[in-house]
Amino acid sequence: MALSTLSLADAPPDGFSFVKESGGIEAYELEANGLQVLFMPERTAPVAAFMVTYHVGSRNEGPGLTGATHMLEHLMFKGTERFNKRAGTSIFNTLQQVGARVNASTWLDRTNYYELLPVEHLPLAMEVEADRMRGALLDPQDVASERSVILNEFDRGENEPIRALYHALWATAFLAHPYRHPTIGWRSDIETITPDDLRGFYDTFYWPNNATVSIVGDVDRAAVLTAVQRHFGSIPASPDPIPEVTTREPEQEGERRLELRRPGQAGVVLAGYKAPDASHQDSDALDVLASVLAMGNGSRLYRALVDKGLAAGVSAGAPRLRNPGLFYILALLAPETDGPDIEAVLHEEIARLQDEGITAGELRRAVNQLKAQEAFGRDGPYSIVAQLNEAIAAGDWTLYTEYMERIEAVTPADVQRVAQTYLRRAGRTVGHYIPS
Amino acid sequence: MPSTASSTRLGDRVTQHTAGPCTLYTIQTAVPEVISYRGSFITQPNVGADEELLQELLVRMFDKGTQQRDRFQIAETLEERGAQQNFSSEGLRIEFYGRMLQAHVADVLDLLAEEFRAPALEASEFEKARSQLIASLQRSLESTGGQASAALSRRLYPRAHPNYTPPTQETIGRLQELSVDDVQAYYAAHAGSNALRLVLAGDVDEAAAVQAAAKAFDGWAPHSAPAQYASSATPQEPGVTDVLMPGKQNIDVRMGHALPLKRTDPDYVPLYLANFALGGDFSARLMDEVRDERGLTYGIGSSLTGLTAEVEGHWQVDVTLSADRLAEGVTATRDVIHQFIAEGVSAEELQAKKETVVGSFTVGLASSRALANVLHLNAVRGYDPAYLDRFRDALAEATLEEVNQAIATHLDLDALQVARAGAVPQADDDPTARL
Repeated sequence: MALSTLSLADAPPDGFSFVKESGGIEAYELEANGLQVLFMPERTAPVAAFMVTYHVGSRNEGPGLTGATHMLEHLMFKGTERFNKRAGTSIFNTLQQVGARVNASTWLDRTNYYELLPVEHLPLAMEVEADRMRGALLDPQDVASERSVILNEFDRGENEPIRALYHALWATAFLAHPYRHPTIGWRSDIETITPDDLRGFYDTFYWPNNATVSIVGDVDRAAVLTAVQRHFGSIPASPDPIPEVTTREPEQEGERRLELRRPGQAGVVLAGYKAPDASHQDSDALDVLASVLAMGNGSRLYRALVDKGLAAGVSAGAPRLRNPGLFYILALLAPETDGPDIEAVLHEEIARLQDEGITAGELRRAVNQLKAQEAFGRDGPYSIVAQLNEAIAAGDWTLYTEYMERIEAVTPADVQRVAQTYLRRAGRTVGHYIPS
Repeated sequence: MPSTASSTRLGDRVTQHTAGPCTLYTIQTAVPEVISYRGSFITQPNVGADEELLQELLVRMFDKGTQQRDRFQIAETLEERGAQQNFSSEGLRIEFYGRMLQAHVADVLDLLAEEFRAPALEASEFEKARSQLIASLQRSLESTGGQASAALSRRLYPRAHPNYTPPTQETIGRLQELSVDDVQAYYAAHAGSNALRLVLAGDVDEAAAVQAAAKAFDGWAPHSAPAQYASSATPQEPGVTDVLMPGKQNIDVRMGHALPLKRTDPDYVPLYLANFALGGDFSARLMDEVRDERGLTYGIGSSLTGLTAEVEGHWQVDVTLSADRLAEGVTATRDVIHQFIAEGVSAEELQAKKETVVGSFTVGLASSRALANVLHLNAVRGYDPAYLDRFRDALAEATLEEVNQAIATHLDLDALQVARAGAVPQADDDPTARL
């Protein structure tokens, strides 16, 4: 797209290239180092959301280093020479003192750091994030202390059977691709990752040309871009190319099954089907399919399972990922029901949909729900950057801005076709949590 | 850098209306089309006499059919509009909340009123609601956090207090004895327009909203059920309750003691600031020492819990600890609390916390959903919308002496009750068992 959507008066400051505009969001590149910048004015309240998304997640981890991305995220809060606790300028204290909501998260394709704060303090958030982009201390003592914090986080997660079943499902469905590793890592790797490992990870991936900055709030373009240049402009681009993930998951050629048995009360069935990557056109029809199956009390699986008293709840979805992932269906068993019976109903309903397709009314209700959700998702700067974050991670931020156009183009035939194409027995993995 | 300045106080942006028996609050935000809503009415269950369970079943049945629409017609009404609708039983009241597009306000309010005023309450739906509630309770038996909090509540409160949570298995047993007739009787005696409040935040057309609310709720009569609950805690002697959950290597620990305060007490503001300094955020003392400095926990914090306009609550410290760090983590937590109570907060620390709390006020209200939630809670507490501004002013004006006096008066390490849930070590030499 050319500069046609911006007038001369709106032209970005020197040093930035305008990339494109979509859905009210403008994209720029900081020419000095390749940093991508997304900007959206939003006047709901005198606040701004600032987020740095690094294009590194647990998909970038190799054997022995699972959990490194997440551990690094923790260490990034231990600070820099300038912002650290020993100097009385810890990152949390510095930002929270001005009322900022501060946090970070790590997932399969990305790591993001964000601040939601009174708009007059936006430069402070930029200053902190720019400083730790290349200036993290990664002190070995901090690594030791944070390792035990993460081991407690790991234990908390293991307490939850649904989470454990989810991890087991991905580890079974993927044999080669690193999506098989839980983002928090395997315990033995968390216990043994060294400070040098983390330093190596940081020096490989934490560069401006591997990051996207998003700013949404009650701010002006020129002032924002000038501030971005002031804080990030002097950081060099990476000396080496950012490594690509080259592993492709081989095609699954038969159903895989797993059981998780542990003390507990109420069973769960979780099925995963190999699904395409986020940018694939079929991902839109799969979103509609998930809605038809499990969004709302009129959805097919709700009627077949929850309304009949067989399940206490049901959900379906396909996280938008950079590489092919999973379409999942989750059913929480009602008392006195058996997992195999619930699974049989799931398969029956999917087969019926594959054979008969969906009605125009089902499509309309699914699209209306997705449209309303999209509108709800624009409720405040944080909600916007949170969704933008996943689109950035998936490799194309316009997946967020063009989402409704894509959804409205889906037809009943598309939904039936993707059900036939992806919800196949040979590509499915089924997990049962069986309380003992 | 800001392009617009917004110095308007929150209370000035809220309009209060009377719409039939409903007190309606509206506030405009710039988000196009979207409206978040939250509302409630007082039901006065006889707490401790199974009525809170009947109320829980009732809210699960509101969207399962009315005299006019069956459950699938209700679902279709919502799904055609993409509207969200949720109900919850919150002690002495029933709450409802969700989001909708501006064009659907009248339809959604009509449906809500129909569900409240003419629910079908059929036997078949009762059975499903009970089964789902039992499943939810069974799942809660796997939550170390939930079980620890519930165990602490039983050390602090009498059964008739809304903050008391019975043992889960006992609740499941009591559920088995209830019938649809009980729910219908409860509905007849406790559902009405008492203290009916509704907040609409977002792209609100005020005149249309008032008209829609008045039409929907007009003529809904109040009930005459009396208040039946205990308002004060009756704590046991300080001690420890363990909820043993095999295989749960993360142990949730809850420590707390009763606070003879309601939300309306003048000491609430200084105590709120004091508690925030101890355990309100990542920079607070507990997080700073037990997690950041010593690496003993992923999560730790403290809160003033269960204080409302009607009942007194308690002070609670939460910490999650892996089994091999349990004793060390509990000791470290108590050391921080001990030092905090002994020394109080410094002037510099208080000033920093005030800036955090006052600044986070703006940030915390940056969505229509947050506004609806905060304004509703404020209304339930019996305050006018401008109170939110006065509360912020009071936080800013609280003195060091008031805050430290609140700590000295209300926080007591020796009065702490402890509840632990998970694979708790039961060795005789476990020092935490002697707390």
